[in-house]
Amino acid sequence: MSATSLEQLDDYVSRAMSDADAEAFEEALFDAAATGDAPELRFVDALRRGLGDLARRGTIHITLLLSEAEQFQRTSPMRVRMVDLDDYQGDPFDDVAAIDIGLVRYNVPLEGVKRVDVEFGTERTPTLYTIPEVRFDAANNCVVMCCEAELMMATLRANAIVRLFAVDGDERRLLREFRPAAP
Amino acid sequence: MVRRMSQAPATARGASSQDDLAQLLARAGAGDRAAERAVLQRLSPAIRVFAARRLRGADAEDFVQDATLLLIAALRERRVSDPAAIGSFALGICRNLARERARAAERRAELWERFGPRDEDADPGPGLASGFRRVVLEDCFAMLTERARTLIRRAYVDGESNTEIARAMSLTEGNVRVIRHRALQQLRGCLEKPLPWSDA
Repeated sequence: MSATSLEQLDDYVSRAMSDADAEAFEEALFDAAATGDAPELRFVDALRRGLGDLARRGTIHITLLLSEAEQFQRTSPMRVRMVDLDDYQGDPFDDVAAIDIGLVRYNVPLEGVKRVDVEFGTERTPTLYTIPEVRFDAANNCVVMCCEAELMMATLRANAIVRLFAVDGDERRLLREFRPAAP
Repeated sequence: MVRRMSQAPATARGASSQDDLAQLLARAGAGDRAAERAVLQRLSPAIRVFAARRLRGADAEDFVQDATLLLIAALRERRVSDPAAIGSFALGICRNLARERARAAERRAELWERFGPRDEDADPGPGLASGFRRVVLEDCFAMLTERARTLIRRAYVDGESNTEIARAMSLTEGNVRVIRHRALQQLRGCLEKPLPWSDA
């Protein structure tokens, strides 16, 4: 039995592994940790701590409903700023260094939409990656993305192009494309 | 190029053999705090996942703190010098502590008075709190499917068991495991790559 199997570690932490198996697993786990030969253990541990950190800050939620975003802005101990890209004049993130977390409101027609994917790209690379199945606010026709200010700055520096798609089965329809101005 | 996972310090990375571990233990016992931190850095992840299996939130954090302090005490008092036994020794500490949790608060106060508090001793993790850059982890986590994000969050943040997650999400326990295992592999692959925006 390898003490550093990612699947076994996940079973151990999530208690999918029986107590009897866990007892034997722990022996190998601690031995591997002591000899410094446990990359999967370090990964799982770092992941747990990192996700806990995002949860404490609120950025584990990729998107929020508008009411949740407004409440988050009011109650978070972080410096949170919400930007409506349609309303904002000039550079939307000119003071990004002065905030911890950004909430970006993308206004899109969402009537009848079942699923929304958000695609990030640039002129050079149209699709860098896609965030699938984001929560969206159909009542207010918007998607409010919540992210660390540093990530926001990285996307702006890269002149990110953000496209929101309605997805229904194999069908994908562009709802709207955003090209925020870089600072 | 920005790497997604921080490298372990040279003291931990270079010393993987039993001989090196024996040297670390000897140096730690002689009062070398860097060697002590290197030993703790190896064992802390195991202590934390041990706690995560049994406890949630602040209770788990308290447990890790207690176990770490007991280990520091043992290292400084040279109660462990056999490199082949240090893993079992640390596990023994954890198991004993788990059995004696009722007395933990009293013991913690005493240990903190004797050996603490020093942040770098109690939390020997590399660099950032988690070892990942926050922004990169956020980026990679976002790329999972909504269901995978929920499963990972429930298991790794909320500390829910496989059974609890399956019940809450109306999935079989087998499905929950498979989705979570795939998500972990995806996260690991993503976190090992450069941030996409660094090349954009």
